[in-house]
Amino acid sequence: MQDHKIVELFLQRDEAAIHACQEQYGARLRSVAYGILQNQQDAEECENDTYLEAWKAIPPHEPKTYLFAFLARITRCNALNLCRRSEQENRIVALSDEMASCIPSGADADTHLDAVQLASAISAFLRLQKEEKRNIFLRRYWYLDSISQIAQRYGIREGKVKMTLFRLRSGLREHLKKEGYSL
Amino acid sequence: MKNQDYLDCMNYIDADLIEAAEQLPPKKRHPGRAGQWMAAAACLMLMLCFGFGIHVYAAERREYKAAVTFFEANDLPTEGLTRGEIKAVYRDITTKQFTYNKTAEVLQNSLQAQIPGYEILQKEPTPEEIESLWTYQNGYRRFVIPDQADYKTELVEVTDPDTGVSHFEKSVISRYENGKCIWRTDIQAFEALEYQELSVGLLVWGITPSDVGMDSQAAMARLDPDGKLLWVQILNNGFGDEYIGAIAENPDGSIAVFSRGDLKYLCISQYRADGECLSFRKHLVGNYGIWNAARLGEDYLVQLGNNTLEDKQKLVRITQNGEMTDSFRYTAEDRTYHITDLQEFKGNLYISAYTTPQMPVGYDELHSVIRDYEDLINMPETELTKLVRENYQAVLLICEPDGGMPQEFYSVPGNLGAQLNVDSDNRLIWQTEDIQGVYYSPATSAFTFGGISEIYEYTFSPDGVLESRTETGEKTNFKR
Repeated sequence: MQDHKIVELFLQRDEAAIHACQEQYGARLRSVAYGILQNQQDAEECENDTYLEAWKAIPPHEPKTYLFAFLARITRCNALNLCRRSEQENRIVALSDEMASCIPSGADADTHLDAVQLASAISAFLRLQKEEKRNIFLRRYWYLDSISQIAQRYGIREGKVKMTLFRLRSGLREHLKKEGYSL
Repeated sequence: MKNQDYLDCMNYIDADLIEAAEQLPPKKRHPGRAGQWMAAAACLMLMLCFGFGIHVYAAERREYKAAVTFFEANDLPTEGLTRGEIKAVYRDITTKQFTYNKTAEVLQNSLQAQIPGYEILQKEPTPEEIESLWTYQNGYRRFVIPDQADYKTELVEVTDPDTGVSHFEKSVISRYENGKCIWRTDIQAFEALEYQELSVGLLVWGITPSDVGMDSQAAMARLDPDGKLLWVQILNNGFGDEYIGAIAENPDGSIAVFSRGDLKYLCISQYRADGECLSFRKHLVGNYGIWNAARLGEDYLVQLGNNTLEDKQKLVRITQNGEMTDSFRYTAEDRTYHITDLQEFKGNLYISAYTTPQMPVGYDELHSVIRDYEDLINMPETELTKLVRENYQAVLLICEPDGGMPQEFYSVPGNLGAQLNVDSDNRLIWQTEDIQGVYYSPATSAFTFGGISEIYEYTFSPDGVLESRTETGEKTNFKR
């Protein structure tokens, strides 16, 4: 079923929308959650929570052309929160610290940057990169893959993954500085 | 923003990027047993072809390697193309023939990867249309100086074959005239990111390599007209982090360098033509980037900007010895000015800008175009384009050097004011971007309205008289 038809079911408050989502995207959403949680039961729990939250969010949201990304964002958010409450918190903190090196730091404590604006700037930077580098960055910081998982996925050495991420973080830092972003 | 929030903010990355990263990459093909025998047989046949045969094979490999390097350097996709097709497209573009039908397909695929949903060619393209696609593909990344000279900067990495780790090796600066490379110069000291032609030679600037785990320092180098490296300067102004935002050449050949220190200081340094530093001053301006600088009489006008703040742009006046004397902005009763470039010409300051309707604080420049989602998603492209064009007007302000007050101005509806340059005949060229083909893209967080703009050039004589308007045939992105 096409995304806009599934969204129409949500808007009509027809519970067939949930079944359609499950059928269309269930496996992919579980995969996103499992990648973060590394636990099948927790991943399934995340998937179910996603449908409930989507039910509450549509309307007012109407993701007619980007339903998977919309659902995946909810799944990811739930998985990250679950991670932070569990023994996996260290992995999340380590990844956050990696990302922190991309964000130029300024001594001005009053400067505030909105998450959406930052993501918009990061998206613009990623679009300037070659496809493989872009995907490596997203596999690491969106899908939270490990270095070895990324190396296996793209058939490259772990050292190359690490250096690619290092150079992307450096490049992102310069891009954000030039655009006037800082924290 | 706290560290944990960085991972959360990644949630708002564009939907299409998230989906693309989820797809498995195409499997790298390794020959199976039959393939290995075929490969071995082919090698045996090649080994039997002595002399001319081997020479031809080696030449073919070199051409194919050059073609692949060309594709990679210009972000052209090779998927779905045979070896012969890759070489044919390479030859078609580099010889500027644009007669091969696969060339159009490759360029269109490349552009569609950058502009989701954009479709350029509706029918069999002519060589002129394919050449225009190629120019557009490169136009927004390439700085074209009006007298047909063209510069290119490349960063070269070297990969350790044992570890697979890459690091910066050198920057390569090249000068092209009418498509032919005139000279090429290597700079090992820093990553060259920007450049500006001087009255004699070229100034190149950038940052020290960022893969050595240290803060980056601003750096610059001067090349003579033949590409010979005259000097390199690493700026050492006591900051943990510094980069050069803009430069302005003085009448005596010295150079004013405007740099940003630790993301809060605007610095002005004066350098002699031979690279010796004469003076340095810094001013605490806060979190503003340096967007442009130009001479204004004896002084300089510097445009500072930050798109995340409500007060996005401001202009500051700085004297030759580095004193900041004035800060101002250009406004009109019902329009907001967005400055894009500054240029000194005939002793006056020319300011390229575009205006949009004056909006309450917190509203962005396209607020007057925003309608209900259903209205916009169903609106025909022609109607949406007309709506967006009505929002914009390109303006060229001609300001007297003492107070910076505009004495004269030109305006072009439906356009954005863009680059200003002075060509080798001492004429001022003002580029505008004529907005066309606008589409609504609510799922993309990087922009909401996208489209293509046609670039026009307005030429002013050495006396400052408008002489001509030319459709260049070049295109650029419109994204808001």
